[in-house]
Amino acid sequence: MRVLIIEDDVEAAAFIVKGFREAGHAPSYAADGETGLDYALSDEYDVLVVDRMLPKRDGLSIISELRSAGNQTPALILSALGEVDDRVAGLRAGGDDYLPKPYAFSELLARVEVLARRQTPGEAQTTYRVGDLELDRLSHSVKRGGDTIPLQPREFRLLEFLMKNAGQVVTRTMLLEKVWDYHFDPQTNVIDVHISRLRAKIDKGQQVPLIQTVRGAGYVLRETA
Amino acid sequence: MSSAKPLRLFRTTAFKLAAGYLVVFGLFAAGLVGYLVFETSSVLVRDADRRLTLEARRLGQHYQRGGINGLYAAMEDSAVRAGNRLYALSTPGGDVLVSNIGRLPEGVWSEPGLARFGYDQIGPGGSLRESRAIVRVFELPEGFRVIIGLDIGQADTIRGAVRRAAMVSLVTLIALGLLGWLYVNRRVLRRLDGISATTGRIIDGRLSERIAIMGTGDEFDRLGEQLNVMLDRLERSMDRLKEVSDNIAHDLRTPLTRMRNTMEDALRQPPNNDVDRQALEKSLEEADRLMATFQALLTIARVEAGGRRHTLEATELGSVITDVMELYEPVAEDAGVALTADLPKEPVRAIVNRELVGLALANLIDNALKYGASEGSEIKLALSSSRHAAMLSVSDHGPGIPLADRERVRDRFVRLDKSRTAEGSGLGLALVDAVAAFHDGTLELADAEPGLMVRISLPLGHDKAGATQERGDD
Repeated sequence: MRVLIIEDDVEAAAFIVKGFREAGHAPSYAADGETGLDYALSDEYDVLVVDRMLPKRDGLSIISELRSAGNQTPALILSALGEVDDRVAGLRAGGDDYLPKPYAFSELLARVEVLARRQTPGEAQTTYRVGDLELDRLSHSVKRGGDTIPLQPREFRLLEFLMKNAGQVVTRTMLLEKVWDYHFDPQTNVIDVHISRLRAKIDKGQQVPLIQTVRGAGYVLRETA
Repeated sequence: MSSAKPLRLFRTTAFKLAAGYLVVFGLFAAGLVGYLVFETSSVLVRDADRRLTLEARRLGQHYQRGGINGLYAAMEDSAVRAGNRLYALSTPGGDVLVSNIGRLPEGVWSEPGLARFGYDQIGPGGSLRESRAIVRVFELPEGFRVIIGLDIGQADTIRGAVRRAAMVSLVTLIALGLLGWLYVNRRVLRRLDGISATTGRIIDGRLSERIAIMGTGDEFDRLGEQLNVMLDRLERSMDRLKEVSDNIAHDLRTPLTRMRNTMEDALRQPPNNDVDRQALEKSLEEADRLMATFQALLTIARVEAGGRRHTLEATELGSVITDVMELYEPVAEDAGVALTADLPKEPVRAIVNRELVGLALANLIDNALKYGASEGSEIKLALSSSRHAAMLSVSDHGPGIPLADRERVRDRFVRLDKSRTAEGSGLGLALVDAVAAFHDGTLELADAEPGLMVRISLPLGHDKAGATQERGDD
């Protein structure tokens, strides 16, 4: 996966570049807004990671410029401004995700990987299938190995999100955002408990556990460990 | 200081006021005196005129009955007993036949009519005395001329006396005014100097100083009382600020110290992958905790700054409660705590920021789970509304918060001693307070008998400037 990182803090950028490289991706790096826009226009990337405040040209204007040029590369905005309305402004400018600083690298990586996947076709699937687990979005039913598993509405949405991003690590904050539409950081382990409930329904008594915990990052739903 | 004092006296408002009043009052008094003098003399002149008319009529009757000889006899008779009356009669040739006037100014005879002039009065023993008179000069058909007059030296004396009295009282008035002003000014300045001295000491850092109240209930006492109330407030918030900074120092220093100790300890030992990794993991955990604390502080600051950073939208509050409750339900169940909601049948809509209200509720449930709930107890969420406000509350049956601490716990980093060792940043209630204030609402801590009830009141029909009905569709 090709990632363009536009970030003026050299140390932070080096850390991100190293992290992406270690995760098996191909990161490129620009230190100011204009260089970043040049790179983004002249090359193909899977995801852009754009700092909001940059020298020469600010992050939001890079994204709106790209969008008006017809470039739809998914973009994640990094910002020291972490309030809901900053997020709304970022998304309105054409950003696809928003991560307030300070963040954990695992969070950034998970979000970027999910963004990269979003481009691939099959977005509007009506059923998801992972191993012998099957989720039907139209009939709101979940089956594993042919047995229907009754789920609460929220559990259904949680599983739906995990299955939609099957094979991708999703973080707790991503789950809170996408499933509950809240952007704060819950202090207690509320998400973990929800996951363990879902896991009890999906994986209990099964040979292959599908919902796996990724230490220090979040969860992933996949067939193999 | 003392050499500057007289100058300062003239610069005071009291001086300017007093000087202004003195000028106005002086002018008024001078006017009054002038009018008095004028009225006195005009009364005397009018009286003289009336008496002269009567005398002229009396002499006229003598003239009609006895001709010039009758007039001559009457005048001579009158002139002898004259008192302060003046009589003179002259022939057409100008020879004076009768006169009790010592010396007349030139030309009086030649102009008939009313005249006023200075003359010499014949005093006892034939001595002459300067005086003033008002006279009437008549010319008879035969060419004889008659002067009848009244001495008005007395009127002049009265007028002079009035004028002198007025001058004396004017001077006295000014002198007394000046004295009174000096007295008032000294008093006022002393009170003001007292206030200045106190504020000076407060500026020097003695915040517990207060302005002395004299108990007279005057405007200085009222000002002093107001200032003292203000100082009480300031002192209280300074104390709180100090407590908050102490707490910040403690709450941020503790994880930093732990982190540093962990790293230092790992470095001191011979390289060992397992030990190093463990140290790193522990340090990362501490760093995350620090980050969370900073994030919470930042959020409070942002919410408190308020303004247009947060969009408002019409929100059904019941759904916010069920959403957050549903989020916490599994955690509560694991802790053996029943999470229940008491919602009204009718939806309650308010213009709020859903995210912030949700965050506040989450914090309250979190607090209740940490400090208020125990196995088998209940946390109750409730929503109710009146015409003007919606009330959201979270109650537990825990130990509650003593009345004395209920104000304090809203502050940043304030944790009651028994909970200081427990998990948590001590920022929860401060954040909830900020969220309530952001919506022009209030946060109230009450007794749930037993336990703690935290109630947020949000005004309905909110119309905050800059409110938009938009939200990102993320």
